[in-house]
Amino acid sequence: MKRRVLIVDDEEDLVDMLALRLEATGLFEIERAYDGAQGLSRAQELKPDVVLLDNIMPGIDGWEVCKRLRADGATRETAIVMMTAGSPQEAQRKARESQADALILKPYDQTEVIQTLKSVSHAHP
Amino acid sequence: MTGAKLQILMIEDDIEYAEIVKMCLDEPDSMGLRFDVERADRLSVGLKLLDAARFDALLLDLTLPDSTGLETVERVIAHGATVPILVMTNLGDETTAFEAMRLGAQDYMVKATSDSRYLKRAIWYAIERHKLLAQSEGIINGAADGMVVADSGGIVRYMNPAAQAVFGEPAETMVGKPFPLPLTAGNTSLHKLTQPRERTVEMKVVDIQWKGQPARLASVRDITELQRVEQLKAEIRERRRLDQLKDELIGTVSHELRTPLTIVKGAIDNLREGIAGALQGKQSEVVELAHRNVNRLARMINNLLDLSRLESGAARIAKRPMDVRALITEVLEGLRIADGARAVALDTDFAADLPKVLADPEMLAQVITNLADNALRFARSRVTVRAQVQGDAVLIEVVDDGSGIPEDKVGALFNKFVQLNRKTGGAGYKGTGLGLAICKEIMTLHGSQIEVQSVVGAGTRFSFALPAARVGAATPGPEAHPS
Repeated sequence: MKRRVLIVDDEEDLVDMLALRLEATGLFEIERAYDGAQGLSRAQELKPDVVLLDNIMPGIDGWEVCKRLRADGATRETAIVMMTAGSPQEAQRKARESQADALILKPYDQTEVIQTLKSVSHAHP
Repeated sequence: MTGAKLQILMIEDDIEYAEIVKMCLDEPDSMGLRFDVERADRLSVGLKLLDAARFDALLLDLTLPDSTGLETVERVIAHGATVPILVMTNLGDETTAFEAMRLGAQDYMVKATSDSRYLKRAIWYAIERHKLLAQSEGIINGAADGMVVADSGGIVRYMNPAAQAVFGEPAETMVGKPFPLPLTAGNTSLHKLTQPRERTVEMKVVDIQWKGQPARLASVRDITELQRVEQLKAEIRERRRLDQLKDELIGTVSHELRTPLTIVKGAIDNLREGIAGALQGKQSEVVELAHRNVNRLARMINNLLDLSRLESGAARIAKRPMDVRALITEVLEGLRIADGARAVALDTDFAADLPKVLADPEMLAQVITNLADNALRFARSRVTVRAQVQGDAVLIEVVDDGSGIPEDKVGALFNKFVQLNRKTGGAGYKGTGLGLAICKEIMTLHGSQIEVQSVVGAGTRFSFALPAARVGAATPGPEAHPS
């Protein structure tokens, strides 16, 4: 059965490229959101297996989305993978604080994203 | 006042008058004052007695065989006497008495009076007034603020010890001379003094009376140190602000560069994977070239951002006790995967009883990655990463069996964008010329440095030492991880 992955990133081109690649593996079903608020409502509505979440977005940023998903009973168990184009050191600290399951540094290899999604969705059956 | 007798010295050559005074003082009274009177018939004898014993008051005649008039008072004061002085004057000579009081006498009494109560009260008041004066003098002398009295002509008349310290000159050189700062009564003003050293003085001037004349009191305070501290504080604030700005700038640049790069990498990856259709003929060569170079660009951007964070001081080190063996093993595993089918062997050699070291794990991983990655590109057949105990430290070495580095090139190795002629790595992998510069900055943050030993034709060895972590020696930095 395919894993449902919600990608939340304000860079539409990035979402398009990544969605193409992930869908081509045949392992994932991709949903999209382009800002924090949309990401939150889509996550609550769709109950994805994994939320792939960019940290820097207009409005509610990725860290805040991550915290709210963790605080909500309906999404508490959802696997969350953070992505960042910012400082790795700071992102690692914040990823721990906001209880993300994994952190991917941009620019990533798309194969690395596939590996991470596989491993976190196994950890969250 | 009751109890001890007051010791009185009387300098008086008129025996008759001296006896009258003694009789007056011996009379019992309701105040309970009792007196011991010692007499000197000339000033020179009196001064000797003043030196020899302590007196509560001095009764001073102004017509002595060896001194007359106000000079007598002046001589007593010049002698350094601190005893309250009562001048005994003849009826009708009150002018001289007043002058004597301006010079420092506490009171006067007219010789014609032989009223014992009046006499006793005069002595008693003189003693009390003198005490009060000594008390305020104590306050003024002990005050931390400098006090200077200048007369209406701006000439210094008095300086307390604190003022002498502020101006760096003893009272003797300043009293009698014009005060060096403008004496404008009113608000606090700041002044720069240059002699004997540069400093800043805060001053407030008020109008007062000094010995019956209008004068100015200047309160002065050396605020040089205070100003220096304030200045340092301001500098620290400014540096923090600049660091924060740099931090923000690097963060923004980082985001703006890495985001489009991620998309381009993704697009090229999708082409390689045939997601946009199978590649034909030359197409896959072109896409491979794009793939190689976008990765090179990614390394360059990552290294540049890392280096600017390190150099700007924005990178914060979070040292903690860590297992070097586990870290090296993990890093090398990553390199082996990334490297694929390379012919060079990548070995490790760990001492059996390696203690934990105190280091920032992420930074240390970067150093080992960069050094091992370099070594792999230089080596002929083998790279060894070694960790040994060396006293209270762990020595980490990365050794290759490559062609070595000529001695004259070793010094420049850690400079930015220095790349030695070398074969490119697997799949045309090119370095960024920033790896060693980053290693150097990271080791500097750890208080260590990287040593290079190289033999042309035989190979190169990079090494650095990290302190072994003692139990409880963790010193988490501002970005310490909560784990």
